[in-house]
Amino acid sequence: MPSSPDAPKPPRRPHATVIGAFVEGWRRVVRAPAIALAIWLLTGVIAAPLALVVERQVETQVASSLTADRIANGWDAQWAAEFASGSRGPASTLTVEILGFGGTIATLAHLIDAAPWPRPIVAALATYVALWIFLSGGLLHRYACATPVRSRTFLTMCSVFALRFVRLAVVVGAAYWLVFRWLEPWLFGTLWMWLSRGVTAEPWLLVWRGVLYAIVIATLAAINLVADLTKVRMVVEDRHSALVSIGAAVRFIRQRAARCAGLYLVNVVGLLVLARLWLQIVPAASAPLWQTLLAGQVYLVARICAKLAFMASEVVFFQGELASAQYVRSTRSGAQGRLW
Amino acid sequence: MRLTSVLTLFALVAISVAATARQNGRKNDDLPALAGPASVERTDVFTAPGGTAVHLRLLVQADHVDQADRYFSAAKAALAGYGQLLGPFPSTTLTIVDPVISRRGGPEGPPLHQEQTPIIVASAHWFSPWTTAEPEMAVVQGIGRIYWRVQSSMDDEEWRLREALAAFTAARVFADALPGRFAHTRRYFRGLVTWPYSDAPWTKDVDGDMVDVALDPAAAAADTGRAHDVLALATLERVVGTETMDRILRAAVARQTRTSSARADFEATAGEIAGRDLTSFFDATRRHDVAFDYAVDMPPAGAGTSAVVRHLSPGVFPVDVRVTFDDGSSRVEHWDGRDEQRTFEYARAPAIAAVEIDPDRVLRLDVHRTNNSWSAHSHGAHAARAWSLRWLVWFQHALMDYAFFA
Repeated sequence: MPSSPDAPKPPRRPHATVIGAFVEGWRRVVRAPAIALAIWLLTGVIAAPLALVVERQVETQVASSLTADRIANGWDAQWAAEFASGSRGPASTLTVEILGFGGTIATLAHLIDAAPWPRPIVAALATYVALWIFLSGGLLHRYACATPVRSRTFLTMCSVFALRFVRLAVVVGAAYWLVFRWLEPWLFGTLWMWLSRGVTAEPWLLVWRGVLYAIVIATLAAINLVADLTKVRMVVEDRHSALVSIGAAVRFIRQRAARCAGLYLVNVVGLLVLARLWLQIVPAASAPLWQTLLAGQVYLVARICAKLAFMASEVVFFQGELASAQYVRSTRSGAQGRLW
Repeated sequence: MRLTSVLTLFALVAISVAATARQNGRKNDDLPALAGPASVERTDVFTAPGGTAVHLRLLVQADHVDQADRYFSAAKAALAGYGQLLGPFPSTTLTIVDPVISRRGGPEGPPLHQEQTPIIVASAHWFSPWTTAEPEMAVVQGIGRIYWRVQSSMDDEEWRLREALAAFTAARVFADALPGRFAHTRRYFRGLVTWPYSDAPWTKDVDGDMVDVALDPAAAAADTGRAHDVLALATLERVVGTETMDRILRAAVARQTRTSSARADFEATAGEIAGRDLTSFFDATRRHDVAFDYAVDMPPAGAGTSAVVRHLSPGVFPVDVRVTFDDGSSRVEHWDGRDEQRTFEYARAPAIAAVEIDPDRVLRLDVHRTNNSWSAHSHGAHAARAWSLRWLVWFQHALMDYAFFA
């Protein structure tokens, strides 16, 4: 039976576009510059103690030698080999692989191949990741509100969600661990042996290798997407259970898989564009120190903004799809401090 | 019964062939297996300044055909360089094989021979940027091994010396024939991504003379003393001068025979050509388990008028010590390097501004160069700060990489 023209229309389902969420995510990040700056400072605070250790080791090694004059203005292969032979801890990473864009590729390869780092580096990385996990609650809440919040509110939100996110991190961490411990060795061990048997054309081997890396990266991205949207649902819907939230996030993604993947890809493309710009401006080892510092910090702030925009765009997307766009968690009572 | 006899005969023949192959190192008929079915043949001719031609044959993998010109230009540059340094190439033909994937890996071995034609194995990756030293380095080293007659059947001692001579001359030829082109290259994601570090160019003094190998305990152990011998040859070059060293190398190539006393022959030739007794030099540098390390030992606050130098490792070698004073004048002292410590006093001179052991870098075997000098006006703190800040920037980005998954 045809519906009557007077019959009330069903309420229109909220719908967010990928590009719209991406742009709105960036807008919310740009409107809260203090967050990016605070994270930039925290990044420096985490890295600085190890940089001091490196400085001390270099200073001890070059001491008052004439070598210092040689290395002050550029890379010196003889000194580098000599330093590498006696360095330990974080200083053992002061190799050619910190130079220019190669350093970016080397670190990424280190991460994807799950290569080991010296213990102090692992400790700093773990601290930094833990810091992001702690801050995620406040950040997602801030971007969900889309209005400035007091610092106390921000920190309250961080602590409210910290324990929930830690529980989530255990599950997500286990998933990452399985990828690095089981999937990757299987792909590049057993499967690689089978795929490469009898293949004599090197380009084909590289293609296979690329495919295997694509599988690893896609798996990591899938876990990352689920983890991100789980956090979004936990914050926006005030969910407590990590496992139930993961289920909810998976359902959310399954119902709009293409657009979720699209949003993720658009954000990744944003990061790649930034990396491409970095390749363009990355200073040489012989460049003045101020140039290296300035370019490095500008790129770092841009990367932090891109990561925050990643989070914000997912919040916007989720709000556009399910939650109210005007969502604000009622945490204003007694909030004091500066606005973020 | 007949079948058993045939099988036994077949097994005996197979064992015999395998034994012969082992004796010869890699067998002659390895060439097709080495090149694989997908190889493509290219030829070219190198004509030496004297008019002698060397016919070059390249068996390159079909997907590496684009690199054929790199192989040939490296071979021609190397033949010209070696010709100038060591004399004419000992053959009128040369085969270069870019091996099939299954036969790659590990260091390139000694040259093969097939019907008097020397064959060198020079691997290259499908993607080798212009600044990557492959396949050029493999070609230059391979030709060097032909000159120095490196063979797999040699005993360790002889092999080590000939390999060192080949590596030493290859570094010379490489640096002269293809100057300033190559950079340190690393491959990431299991070879999927190749990245040349243009900030770290290939240098003869460090990479060619294998300083990096000598400084890395694990690499040095695997290298079984070859890096030590290369550095000893570099030291000899500084002692006798480049021109004399070239004459020594030329004479050593011309006189070499396949005997187990190759080292003694080389040392005798060196002494004869240099016109001086080099016994003490070779006695001091022969043993590859003896390290050399001299250091300046000055108080950080300032030296006053005395310079103290120390002898830190068992290796003994006479060195010069240059002492520079505040007024810009300097004195060069000669130290036999035997005592554990030596103090140079300058009672009536101005304060010491800098001290440098072995300022001309004669003793290349002393790979710990940083402690060889001291300066009252050193920029050590500045250099340390500069590199730690560069490291800081790198590490901040490493943190961000990992935070992506937080």
